[in-house]
Amino acid sequence: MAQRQTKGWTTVLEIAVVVILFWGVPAIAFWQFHTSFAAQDADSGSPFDNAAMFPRLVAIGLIGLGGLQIGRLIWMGAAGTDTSPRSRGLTLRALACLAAFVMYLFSVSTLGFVAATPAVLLAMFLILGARPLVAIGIAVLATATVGIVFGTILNVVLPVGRLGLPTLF
Amino acid sequence: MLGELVTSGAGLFFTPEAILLTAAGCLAGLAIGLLPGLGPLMGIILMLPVAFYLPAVAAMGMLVAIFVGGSCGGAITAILLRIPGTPIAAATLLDGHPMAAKGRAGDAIGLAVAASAIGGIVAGLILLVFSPLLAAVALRFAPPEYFALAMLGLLSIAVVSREATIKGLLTGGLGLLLSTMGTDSFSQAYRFTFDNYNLLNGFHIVPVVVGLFALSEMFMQIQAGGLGNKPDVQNVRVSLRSVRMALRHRVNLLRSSGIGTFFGALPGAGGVIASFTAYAVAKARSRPEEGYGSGAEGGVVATESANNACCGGTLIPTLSLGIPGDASSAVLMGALFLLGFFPGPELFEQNVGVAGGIIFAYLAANVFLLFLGIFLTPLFVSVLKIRKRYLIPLVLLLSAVGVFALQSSTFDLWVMLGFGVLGYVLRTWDYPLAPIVIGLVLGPIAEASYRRSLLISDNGHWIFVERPISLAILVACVLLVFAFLPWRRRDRATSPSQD
Repeated sequence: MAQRQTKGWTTVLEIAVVVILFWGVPAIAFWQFHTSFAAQDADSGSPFDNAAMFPRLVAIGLIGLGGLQIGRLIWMGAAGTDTSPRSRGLTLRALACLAAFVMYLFSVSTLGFVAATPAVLLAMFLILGARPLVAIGIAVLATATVGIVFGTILNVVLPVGRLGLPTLF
Repeated sequence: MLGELVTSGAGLFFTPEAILLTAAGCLAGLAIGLLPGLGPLMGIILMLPVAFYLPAVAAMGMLVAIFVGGSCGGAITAILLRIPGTPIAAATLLDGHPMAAKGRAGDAIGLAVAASAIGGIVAGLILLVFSPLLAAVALRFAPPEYFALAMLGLLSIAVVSREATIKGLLTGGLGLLLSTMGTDSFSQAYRFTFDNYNLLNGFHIVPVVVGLFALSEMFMQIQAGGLGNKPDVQNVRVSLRSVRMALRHRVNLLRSSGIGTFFGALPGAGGVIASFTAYAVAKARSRPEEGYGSGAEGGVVATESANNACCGGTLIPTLSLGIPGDASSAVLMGALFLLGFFPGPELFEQNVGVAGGIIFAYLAANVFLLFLGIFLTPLFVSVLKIRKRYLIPLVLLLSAVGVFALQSSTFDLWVMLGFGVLGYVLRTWDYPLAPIVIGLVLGPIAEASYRRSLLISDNGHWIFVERPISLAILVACVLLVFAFLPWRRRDRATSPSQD
């Protein structure tokens, strides 16, 4: 019974994924054809002028295939996914790492590469269960190595941030 | 054309920079390939931003060498731990691990490396001879043929690669639609830019690919657990004697290399099919006392020569037709675009040196593979001891810095994150990611050929069936779709790492 209920939920979730991705994206495309493309006079005419010609074909194909997939899911159901407590714990760690990574994207333009990178690396190491002292060492070493490879050898301008911290490398 | 390909290719490849970077790429590929869950594709993706800063042949040499090294690296894990580092090494388990269990781990790894290198060199020679011939034929193609070829390439990957026909077609379609973002090259109209200047050229392929594959893989790896596990790996020593051992199986070696090259050249078929087919043929032609399945040397030779030859085979349609055979070659093709060159017959006509240089790099990568694989195996084995809890954040850092380095743009970092989430969601529901990349790469070619065909046509869409070559390719597309119709079997879930 519980297994059937789980499979039902999994099917509903997969249908939602199909609707959002494979119907939602073409829906946005059609909205754009009628607004932005029409305003630029690029949604009709000869193959040269009609910028909507190819994306419209693809969007129609996606809607058709999405419908077929939804029909199959309703008819056959989706494959189950792992929802054990161990899996939920690891999912939380994955989400925490994702949050740390999002924080990195925000902080790297504010704090700069040299300050944000070791802090976020350290956070991720600790989330994944590393020993603090080893984690600090690897975070600093990795920041320095990546900074030297990209900043010095490849001449990439790494973000200095609003604080204007030098990249040191 | 062959003479010019060899002379100008050699001139561009035989520079200290290109040779060193090819060797470095092979080393990196071996190290990445043996880490379970990673593989040649991940290696190429992580080094793509670095390649952007290098001369064309040196950059492509490094990426192609990662492809070669990564395809072989998985065998070491398969032999020592019974875990294929990459899906293409799965067939090597069958005899490689039993050899290790009998105390012959060093011999098994040596055989795998030697067979991979020899298989790769055979495929490289075939690539050298056949690519210019195929490109010369393709020079006669007009837009309808190119459109049909692009469709065939996309359908092959979408339909064949993961036995999930509709899912593959859906993600391939999504890739095609994404490829239309940015300024239209015909009418100069802005498409799906949402008044954001960052989108005027559409999404850059690097953040998309890094997000889809690297980011989603790291989150999948966290969910798979075993973050602190340190594998119990035996120490092994490999010697040049392995080359002699491999050459004792010369018929098997040549036959399996041929099989690998053939399957590699077929878009969508790939290394897994090639290595299992080569294994099956070798087993069928073996004597019972050879003991296939319980540690036969011939089994390792067949699978490894086939899967590395497959890399060379994949480069044939990629370089000469501009149709990638799998996700790795699609990313290689994307790299070539970034470096300012267009794979296909024009590459052989206008930049024959670059085409030849890439082929030389492929051949050299296999020579490096032989020596690096044999002499540095103890070092690679120690890479296997790195715990996932340290590896994952480092890969995430490399991904972020590499993507930022491309255009110094934080927008690219957000694109990478968005596609990372998309990749994770799609993989959770077993939607293949490779067709998105193929769609992104082939989309501009397909659209331009489609619209040019209609512009030159007096008879609308009939132009695609009025021309015999275009008609033949389109019939092949239809047959391919019918052969894999969804109602002939259920979409089956396969391991996420297959992408």
